[in-house]
Amino acid sequence: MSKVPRSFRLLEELEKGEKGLGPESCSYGLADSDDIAMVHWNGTILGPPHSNHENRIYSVALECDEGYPDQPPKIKFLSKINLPCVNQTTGEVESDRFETLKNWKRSYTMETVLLDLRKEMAFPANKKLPQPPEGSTF
Amino acid sequence: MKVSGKLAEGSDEDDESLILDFESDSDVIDDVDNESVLLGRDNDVNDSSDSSCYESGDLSGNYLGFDQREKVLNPGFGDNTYDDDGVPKLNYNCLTTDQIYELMVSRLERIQPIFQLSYGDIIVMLQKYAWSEERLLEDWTEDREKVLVACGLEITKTVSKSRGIQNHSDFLCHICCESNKQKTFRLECGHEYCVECYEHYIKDKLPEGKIITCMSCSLALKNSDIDEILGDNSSQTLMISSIKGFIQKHSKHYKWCPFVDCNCVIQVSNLSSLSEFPRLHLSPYVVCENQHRFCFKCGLESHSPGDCQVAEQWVKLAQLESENLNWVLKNTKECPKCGVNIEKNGGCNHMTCQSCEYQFCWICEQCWNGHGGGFYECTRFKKDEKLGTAETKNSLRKYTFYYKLFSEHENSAKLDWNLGLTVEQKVKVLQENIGISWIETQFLSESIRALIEGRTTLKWSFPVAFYADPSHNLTKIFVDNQALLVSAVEDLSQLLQVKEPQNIIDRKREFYNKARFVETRSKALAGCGRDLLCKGICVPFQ
Amino acid sequence: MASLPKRIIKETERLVSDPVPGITAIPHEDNLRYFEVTIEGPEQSPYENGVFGLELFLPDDYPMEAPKVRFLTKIYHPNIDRLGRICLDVLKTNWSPALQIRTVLLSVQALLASPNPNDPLANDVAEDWLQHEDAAIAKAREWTKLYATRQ
Repeated sequence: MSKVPRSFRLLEELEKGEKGLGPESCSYGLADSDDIAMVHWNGTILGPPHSNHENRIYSVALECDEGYPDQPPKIKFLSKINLPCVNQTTGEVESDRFETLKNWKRSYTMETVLLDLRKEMAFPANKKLPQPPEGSTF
Repeated sequence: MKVSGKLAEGSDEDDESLILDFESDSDVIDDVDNESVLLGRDNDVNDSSDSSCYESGDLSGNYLGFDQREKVLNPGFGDNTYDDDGVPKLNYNCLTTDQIYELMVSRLERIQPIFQLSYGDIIVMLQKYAWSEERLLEDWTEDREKVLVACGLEITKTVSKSRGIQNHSDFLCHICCESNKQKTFRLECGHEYCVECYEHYIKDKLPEGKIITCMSCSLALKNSDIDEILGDNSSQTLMISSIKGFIQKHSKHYKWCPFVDCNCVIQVSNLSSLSEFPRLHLSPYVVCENQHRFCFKCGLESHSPGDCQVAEQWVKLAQLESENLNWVLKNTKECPKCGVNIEKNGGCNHMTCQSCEYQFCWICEQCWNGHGGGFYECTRFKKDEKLGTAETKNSLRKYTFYYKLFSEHENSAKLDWNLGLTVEQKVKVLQENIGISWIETQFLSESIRALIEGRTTLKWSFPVAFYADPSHNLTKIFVDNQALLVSAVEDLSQLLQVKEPQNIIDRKREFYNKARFVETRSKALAGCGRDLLCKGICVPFQ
Repeated sequence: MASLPKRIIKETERLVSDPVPGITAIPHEDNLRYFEVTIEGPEQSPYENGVFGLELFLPDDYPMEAPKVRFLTKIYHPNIDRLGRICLDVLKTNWSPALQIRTVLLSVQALLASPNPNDPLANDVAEDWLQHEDAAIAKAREWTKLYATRQ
């Protein structure tokens, strides 16, 4: 298997996101559609059912720098959320507390990250954590 | 039954489709009719509509259908007839891909004398013309040279190499750039490449169902060439893809049965009656050979008492909320103009329908011309997208409540189905041991069918309830009707729990009555739901 | 990394030994399927005197699958979007394994010489092109000067 370069890989992800080929429970797109380098992305995660996150929509910011996809993207919650892997002052997802970033593989995508964060929200130990008021931001 | 292919012209003006028609003679229909009486089905079918109605001669589409009710024609209404309940009649056949293929081949035999070409050549031409014989014949009479060149059957330049697999000692293939190749392939054009590259190339193209050409020019590979390169019958894949393309192209007439692993195709011959349904808040239901009942308009399973609009809105919500409705075709969209299903396969949002050539934006489904955004980004969609408003969330909560009820009945239907299979198995054993005739055990499958259909009606009554004005009196009546059907369905379901086969046979009458009761209640609920829709009490919103 | 198919080696060699006038394509050292490309704007087009940077990638299935190509230099053109993606038939449905990297790049250059705002695609630039052709051409020229001038 040949290595797909960063930009063509990001274009693939962009197309998947734009055409709605991914799951309905998360979405993502370029933060600035003029950004030829495709570094900054926005994402949303629909809170999983049967949890304190049910019916909430969380916004996140993703940053795919030059090292992506060999290196994981940086990800930061814009909406306030109470999760062990999220820094409570900045909203950043801390890579050593989030398995997907910690053991990053080149085959992972931004979608993987968003879906795994959703799983994290539904995790038995996390799903009943008290949550900040809806709509508040970091 | 006599089966023959027949080219008929559809009633639509823009219709160029090849209608593969089944011609059956009237005694066949009588046979079917008698059979259904024997089975004790549809006792409530109006007796006045006996075989005399078949004498009208206007059997533009004959039936292999199963639901006798849908078979009754009232004489004197031409193509668009109605049954007792004012439901427009739909004339349709159920075909399998094999049958369609056979009919295509039988057409080939008939038109071969016109062209005086081999079947292989005619197949290529028909593929090029999307199986529209009429357009092909028209162009053929006008300028046959032009048709042959356009289809890649003849080359303008006078190069004429021998066609087929060639043997060499040391050939350099310009596709893979490997030398020492021994087996190659070429057409008369002389563009010659190694067989390995050709194999790879053809395999990639087979699922597209379109003419495969030489890698360098427009000369066409025939089915015999494909078989020569890839081995016997490889071209059949191409033919199957081509049939799929044919059905897609003629999606007004033909629809695949949406049930998993069902290969049936329904062909409707009196299309003009289709337009009658939405106005009456009814849906054109068809039943395939495997007894799957579905809506010919929206392609979903039977969704009565909801109409197509209710079903469509409900499914849209379901897509937002849940991923376990497997009959929702997630990766396809319908062409906004001609309704053909289009699959996304990468590339930009600028979509061109392969069928009608309509150009549109994948995201907002608007016409491409004058589409404001860049072709990889739709600005219209962005503007409309307002997630997270309080209103959306409230409706989501309400939806979840109704969705639970909806899916509960879906699951129950599956369980009932399995239960039915076990019971049927037991009775079959009994049949063999005691010597009860097949006919005598049919009440069982009839009861299971009534049960499943009752469940389906119940299931789809929840979307109607969801969209209905809860304060209205009729909605309350509707809810009462729901409760009545629930108890009728549960009653019948319980009867199926009877374990002793002999006991089942003894309680045959009970089965009959309970199944009939479910049918009556389903009908009542469906009628009530339609009332809500007709009176604007139930309004599916965006 | 799996060994490079002969076809790609041959094409790369020829791109170096017999370059196409106005076009360069150099493979990255660490990924021989990934090329750094420049195309000179054709004469008598709004892109004249500009040098445009592109990137090209040969997917696993090449040459059965078309190469992937994208502009890296900002360009005002009805068939190229803001991320540099190109809507060109030979890169999509009209790809044939008998085409090559050089033929594809020549097609891209030809697209610069004759923008196609009518068919088969359009976008906001195309609309502009159709309604105010002179202004659109002027803008394309300006962008060329702004973003595509050789340093």
